[in-house]
Amino acid sequence: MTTHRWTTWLYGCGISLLLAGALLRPAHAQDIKVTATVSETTVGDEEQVSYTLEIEGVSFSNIAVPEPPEAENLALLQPIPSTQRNMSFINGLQRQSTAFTWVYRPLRLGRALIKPTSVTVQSRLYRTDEIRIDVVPQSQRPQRQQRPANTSPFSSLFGPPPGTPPDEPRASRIGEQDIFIQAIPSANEAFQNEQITVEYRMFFRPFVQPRESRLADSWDAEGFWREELPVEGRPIPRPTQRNGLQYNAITLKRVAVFPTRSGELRIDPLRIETEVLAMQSSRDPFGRLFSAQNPFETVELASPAVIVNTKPLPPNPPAGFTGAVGRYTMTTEISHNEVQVGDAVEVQVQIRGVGNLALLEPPAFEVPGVFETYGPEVETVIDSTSQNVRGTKTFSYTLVPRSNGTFDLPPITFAYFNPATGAYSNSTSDGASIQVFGTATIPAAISTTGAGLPVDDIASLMPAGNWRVYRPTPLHQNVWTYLALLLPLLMLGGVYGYHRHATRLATDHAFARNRVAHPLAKKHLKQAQALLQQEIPEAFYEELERAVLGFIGNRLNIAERGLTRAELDRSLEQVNLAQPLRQELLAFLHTCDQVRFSPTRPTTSQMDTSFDQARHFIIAVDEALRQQAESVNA
Amino acid sequence: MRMVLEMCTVPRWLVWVILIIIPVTEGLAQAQETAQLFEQGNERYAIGAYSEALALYREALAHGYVSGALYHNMGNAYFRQDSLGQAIRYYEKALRLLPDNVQLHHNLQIARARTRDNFPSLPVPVWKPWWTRTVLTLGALGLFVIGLLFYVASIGLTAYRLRKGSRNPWLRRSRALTVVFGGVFLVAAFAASFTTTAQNRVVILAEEITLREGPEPDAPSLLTLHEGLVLDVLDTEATWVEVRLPNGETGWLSAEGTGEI
Repeated sequence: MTTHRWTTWLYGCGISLLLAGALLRPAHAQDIKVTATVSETTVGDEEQVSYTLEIEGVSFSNIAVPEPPEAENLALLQPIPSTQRNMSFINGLQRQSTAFTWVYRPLRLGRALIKPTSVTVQSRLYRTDEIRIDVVPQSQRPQRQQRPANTSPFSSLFGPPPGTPPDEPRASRIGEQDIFIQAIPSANEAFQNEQITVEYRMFFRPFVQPRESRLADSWDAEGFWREELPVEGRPIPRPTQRNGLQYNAITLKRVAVFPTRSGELRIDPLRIETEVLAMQSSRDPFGRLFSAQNPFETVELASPAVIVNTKPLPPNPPAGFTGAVGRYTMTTEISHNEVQVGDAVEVQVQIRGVGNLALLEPPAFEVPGVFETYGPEVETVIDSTSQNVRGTKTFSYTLVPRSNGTFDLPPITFAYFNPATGAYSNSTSDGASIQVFGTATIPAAISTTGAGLPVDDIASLMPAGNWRVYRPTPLHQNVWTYLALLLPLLMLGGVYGYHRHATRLATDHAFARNRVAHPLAKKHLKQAQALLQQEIPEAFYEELERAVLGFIGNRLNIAERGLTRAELDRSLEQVNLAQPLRQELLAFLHTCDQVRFSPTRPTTSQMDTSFDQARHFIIAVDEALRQQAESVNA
Repeated sequence: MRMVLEMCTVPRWLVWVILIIIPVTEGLAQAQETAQLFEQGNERYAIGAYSEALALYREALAHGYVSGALYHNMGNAYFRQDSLGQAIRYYEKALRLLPDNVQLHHNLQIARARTRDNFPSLPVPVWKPWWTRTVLTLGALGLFVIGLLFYVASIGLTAYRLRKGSRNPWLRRSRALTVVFGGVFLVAAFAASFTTTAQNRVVILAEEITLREGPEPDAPSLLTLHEGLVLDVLDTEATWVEVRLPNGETGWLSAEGTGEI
């Protein structure tokens, strides 16, 4: 606990407020009186000076709180003035006054100046004059008169507060146990992102009356995300007991903190400065009457720091987990289930519960591609009236269908960690179906490239091009490929074979005659058969003779014209044709000659027999020649 | 057939003509129907009914005809449905038929820009772009037809020389040139066919898929790949495919999350 020496010293010396200038500027002759005073017109460079603007003759509600006056070579320590209201009855008349006090600190040695200021009272403006102050080295300031020790006979009960320097001119009348601040966290151990509420309560004994508290230093909680919770503006002290002593308690501050990382995290102490009235009457009914001191002291209070051990979240969070910690429920709502193409559908995903609502990320929402999706717009409503931060966070999506049809919106899953159960949980909504009617026109692209293609979007459809038959079989596995290659080769082979054949026919007479032997024989036999049907024996036998002799001549490569029967017989003997067959052949040839030159006509059966004989001879000769050729080759 | 010929009194040549004409007219009707389905798909697409457009496009494909425009428009429809993997798959298919189409390249670039994976590519040999362009332009069949023409020409010149016994030096040179060109184009055609068949590619259709060291579900995972990435196929085994990433890294993927190109 710290006391301000200058105030106690000032009041200890019995020096009242020093009127520093012609401060009165009553605007009219009413009872309203505005005065501006400073504590001293000569101050040391280590001292402070208080500037008090007092308005008499009017109630506080009729006064507009004035702005602090501007000053030269002085620094304003706090913009918000301390306010003191007094009311008294003198000779049956009520007198009331209000005083606004600001504290300044000299900046350097020399002349300082508090400029004129103004205050509005009952809609009238009152101005003060400027006040000059001399700032001198502290060593030139007269030694402050020490307060008479223990002015109260019972004041010895209140020793000087611990830590008070021996040269302290005045000891505080307030003990450490008389007023203090306590920080009360809801837990000292939490999971990451889990909510913890810290409440700062000021406890003070019944004979201690605090007023006008203000923050003496900034309050911070590094590593936490914070959400201030409201407290009563005019708190009513609530009686309580601590360590067997009676106390009054008021709540100064409530804040919800969410550790953003794991480990040991520290919340700074809450430091406030407050004016305290120690009512000595509680111990010495006459002390206040005989005391010339100002009964108010300015004291600085500080709560202890709060240490929070933060545990990391369990591993393997479920899919879609984005750091939500608390107890939540999720609901979804769709504005329409049946819309026209191009009309908007609003989908609201509302997450309600207790936890780090402000940090919640929107859950994954897979919208079919036929919808243009806008948003989400996020609305967070936090209910801070309860002990914890609770409320709702709403993610609003606007979907615009670009096609007709029935489309299913998939279920939305919101994953969070529940510190109460120590496990991850899921809240899954039901899917929805949207029926879209009508048609839509595709808007033209806003901008295009040099080639006329849309920027950052795909180009439109292509018109029908060349249709091809789908060929799943690759070229090297297609049989037509190899046929296409083989066919020209076969043709070339054919050309080559034909060329060789033609050349041999042209150069090898025996080969050529041999090649034509069969066709010619067949031709003559065919003609003979026709003559047989026509029953023309002469021509029939002539054709038979030509067929047989021509075949033998061609096969043996001998000239059949002018060939005698003896030469024929020898030739056939050379090819090992059997003797009986040769005799039959000669007899057959004789019959042919006989019919051709004889007047008797053969019967049809005789002609048939001759036809068969001719075929038989041809076959027999051909067989004999083949056997001979085979024996030669063997 | 013989029974038909025996039973009918129509001339035999007329039967053959009919037998030839029927398949031809059937093919023409199929092509016409394919074109109609394609146009109907385009109309559905124009009003934003992408699912219906895709159904019509697929029906057109089932008729056995393909075109670069059909694949391109299917890619567009899939893109509008946010099916990035399918969109890239059909754009790549279209690219085989329309290698120089500016609009197709633009759309493919837009689709690729929206994929999550961006692997650096290995350096490409100097001949590879030239070869790829030739194959894309002519195709294995085009190369084969050109080679076949030279081949037939060389056969014809040889037959001519054989028949006529000509010793004309120009004939000899021409024959040598046709043999060389025919051989080159035919070898290129077979090479293109082999490489096209062997160089299978797949595109990832699943939103996420894990690249593993082996073709088992419990094989150690290497990477997580995302929809739209195009990969070369090295091998297949049951329901797994071994793939090579653009940066040369290899691994196995479940074939269920991929689509062939």
